[in-house]
Amino acid sequence: MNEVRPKTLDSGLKVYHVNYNSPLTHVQLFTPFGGDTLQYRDGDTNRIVSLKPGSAHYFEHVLFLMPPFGKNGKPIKWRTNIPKTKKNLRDGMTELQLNKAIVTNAYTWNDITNYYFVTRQNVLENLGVMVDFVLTPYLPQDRFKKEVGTIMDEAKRSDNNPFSKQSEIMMKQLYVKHGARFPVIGTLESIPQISLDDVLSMHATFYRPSNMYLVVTGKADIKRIAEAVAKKLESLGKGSYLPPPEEVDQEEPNGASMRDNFDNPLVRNEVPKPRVLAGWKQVLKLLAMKTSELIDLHLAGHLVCQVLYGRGGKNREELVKKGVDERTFESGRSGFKDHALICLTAMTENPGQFRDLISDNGQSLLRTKISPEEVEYARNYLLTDEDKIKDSIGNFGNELARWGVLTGDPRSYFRAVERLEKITADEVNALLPKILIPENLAFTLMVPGSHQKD
Amino acid sequence: MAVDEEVISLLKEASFKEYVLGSTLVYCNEADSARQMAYLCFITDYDNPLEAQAAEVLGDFFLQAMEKGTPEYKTKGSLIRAFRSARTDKPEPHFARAHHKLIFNIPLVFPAGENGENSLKYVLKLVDKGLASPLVRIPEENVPVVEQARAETMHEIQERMMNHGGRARSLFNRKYFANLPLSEEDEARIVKKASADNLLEMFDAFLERSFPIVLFSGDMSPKTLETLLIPFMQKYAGNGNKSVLTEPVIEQLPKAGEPVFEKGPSDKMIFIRGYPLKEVPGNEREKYLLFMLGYILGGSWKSPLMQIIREKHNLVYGIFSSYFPERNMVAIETNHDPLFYDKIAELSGEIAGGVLEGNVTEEQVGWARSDLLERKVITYSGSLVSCNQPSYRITDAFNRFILKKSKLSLKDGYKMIDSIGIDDLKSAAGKFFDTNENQIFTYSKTGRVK
Repeated sequence: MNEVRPKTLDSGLKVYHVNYNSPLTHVQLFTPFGGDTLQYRDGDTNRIVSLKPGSAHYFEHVLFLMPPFGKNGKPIKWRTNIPKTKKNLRDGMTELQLNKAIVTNAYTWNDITNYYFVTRQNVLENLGVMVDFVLTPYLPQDRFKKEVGTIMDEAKRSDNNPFSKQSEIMMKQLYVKHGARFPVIGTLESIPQISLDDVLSMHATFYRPSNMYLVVTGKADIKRIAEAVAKKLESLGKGSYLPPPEEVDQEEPNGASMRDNFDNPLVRNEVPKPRVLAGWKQVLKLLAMKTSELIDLHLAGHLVCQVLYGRGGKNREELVKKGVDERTFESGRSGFKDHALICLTAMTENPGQFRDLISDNGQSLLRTKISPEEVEYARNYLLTDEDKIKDSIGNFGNELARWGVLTGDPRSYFRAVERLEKITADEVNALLPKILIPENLAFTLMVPGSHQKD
Repeated sequence: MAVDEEVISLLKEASFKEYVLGSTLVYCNEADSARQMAYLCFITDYDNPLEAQAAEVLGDFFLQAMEKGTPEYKTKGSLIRAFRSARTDKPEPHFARAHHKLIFNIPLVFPAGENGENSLKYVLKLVDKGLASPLVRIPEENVPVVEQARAETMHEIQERMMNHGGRARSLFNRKYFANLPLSEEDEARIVKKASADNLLEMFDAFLERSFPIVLFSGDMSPKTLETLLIPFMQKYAGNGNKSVLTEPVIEQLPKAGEPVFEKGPSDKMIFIRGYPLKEVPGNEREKYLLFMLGYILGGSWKSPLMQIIREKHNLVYGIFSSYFPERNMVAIETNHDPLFYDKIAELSGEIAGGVLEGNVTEEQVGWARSDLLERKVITYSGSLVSCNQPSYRITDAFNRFILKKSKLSLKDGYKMIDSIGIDDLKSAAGKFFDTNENQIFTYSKTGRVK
């Protein structure tokens, strides 16, 4: 069993150390704020801030910027963190690597922005560097604007991938009001419009220590980490407690904004055959749920996805017998803070038939319920996946971060694995109506350039 | 330079002992990990890359057909279910090709400790059934199986062609090197024509000439491995011998020509720029010097390719370079808006012209050496794993003992990196590169846009 040691600092930063047998240490500093949040109330000014899609991701890019060294070899003291311009900027990625961090990066997803490094040495020094650039934005205005070029290129990469494009359209169909209807990276229209003022407000609200988590996996001493981080936060003027922002319900309704796009499918020359991507949306009322309820709901969601569409499952075999293309039939479930998504996809020459089959199949399961045998198989399948996850310090750390965002405590990952061993078919079936809501299903069709419409 | 004794000790623990058990060559490593890993490999030589690649195409087709089930487990799904119900991964047997050598690999992962033995027995029993009597071998049953596998293999080939980066690399390699004689279109033709008999002939002939090797990392003793694995290996291995384990064939980029603007359905331009070496490195040290030069150029966030082309000019999201020993070149790769081609060609040329002509600084050499030393303790084997994990060790063993990519142990490779200085790199640059000789190859919908 991996031992976990938690500690909450005076500033509210939640620190966790998790044992893991490795010569490496994986350090993650994250905020449960990502691409989904497009509107919030600024904690300082009380104004409603509307963010352009892609703001969280844009900010993640530029947050690595650090002020240059002065003549004394130390970072300059600055009067403003948004000068018009500044030469000889440093960047956090380089600083960490020069200090022997082996892997350094960050990512933004729907409900998280996570800055991390993996290292064998200099854990505390590198932690100090990361806390510095993450908690204190230094954003020369011209440099902020220039990042548009890099991010637009990243967005175009996504556009150049037909499956990414199809997924983007599906999300727009499925979500009505929620920020998830936009790609995390933003769009080619929204990215150039992201403003410095908005991202600074965003930082002040969501990057305050009380809203953040530090998860250290592998070789480390929690006492030394906590002391070093507390000292660093003090030196940055972030040592005092400011309450975290209020969770705001995005009021996403049940129902999709568009059931299917079959009258106007996505046309891409790269794909050899028509392909349908379907998604079951699940809206979670975060504020109304206890941790144990959240764990059960997420686990049940994974189990249901596996039972319905997972490899080796009997339902999947039935669907294949009824014509679903075995080779391209893929599925998966993603759980987020206030929503979840079961996705499935397959190539098909008859999208209408595929849509009806999946829809009817889901509704049928709501009536017949899942058998204990199928729950047992799905359980073993998922537990085998968990065994694999633990082979990699990076994947293991990611799971801790994920459960930290889902429930507010990374330790709930261990509770979830224990619960996965024990949850019964009856308990999963009791949650089925919350997971498979017929009106929360949407279908997105992509066809080759030469294809005739149905 | 002082080596880090902790790393030396870690790398020593990743070393393998060699045994010969029956006619099987076995490499064993002791690992303290929750899961153990083994690669069961069968290796056969062909006369040339064309024959080997044709065999590989049929082999992949055969494996697709084999996956469709056995008389006991009549579908792919039921086979998967048999493994996952016992809380083990279904192995994914596959072919890998190194020039004219074809390697059939059955990777196995199973728990450590007492459970491991039972788990391994169970998995091997299923794998044995899958190989010995799949539906594809049964004349009364194999027609629909082969047709389904054919359709799936064709789709996979089509999808490979639609992966823009992969397609660009494949076209580049086929244009300039002999290692990939068959195009995706050629592969499709082979798959279209092949019968069940062709598939079985290929696979049986392959095994008949094969040489067996086992790579293992875990806590199982060699004696237990011998009892459990060797009978399986002896059953399937052929009359091949150790002479199949040859050094990699080194190819050479021909004399550079004008930039190539290959057309394909990619909105972004895939950009590959190859810098051939003037001669083949004569020893391991020279190879390490070239790795380091390729790394300084574009292997790191700190490298000038990233810092100038991405960070200063914001022209790309990512740009990288690496040394490719089997192609005797250092190559740069990125993808970008076609409008930026001229600028990227200009900048990458300037930057490579500097680094590969030996214009490197002590600072660059310092961080490159430091990075490469630290990176010795990790690998990406699907995900990030550290050197104490079986998957790291097995990957290294596969590269060293089967592909013969390096003659040095991990520990010696680490010491080699540590010993490299700026003068060595400058000297290597002068010896191996004339940066006026380089080949640009691009792939995009638009071609060059002026």
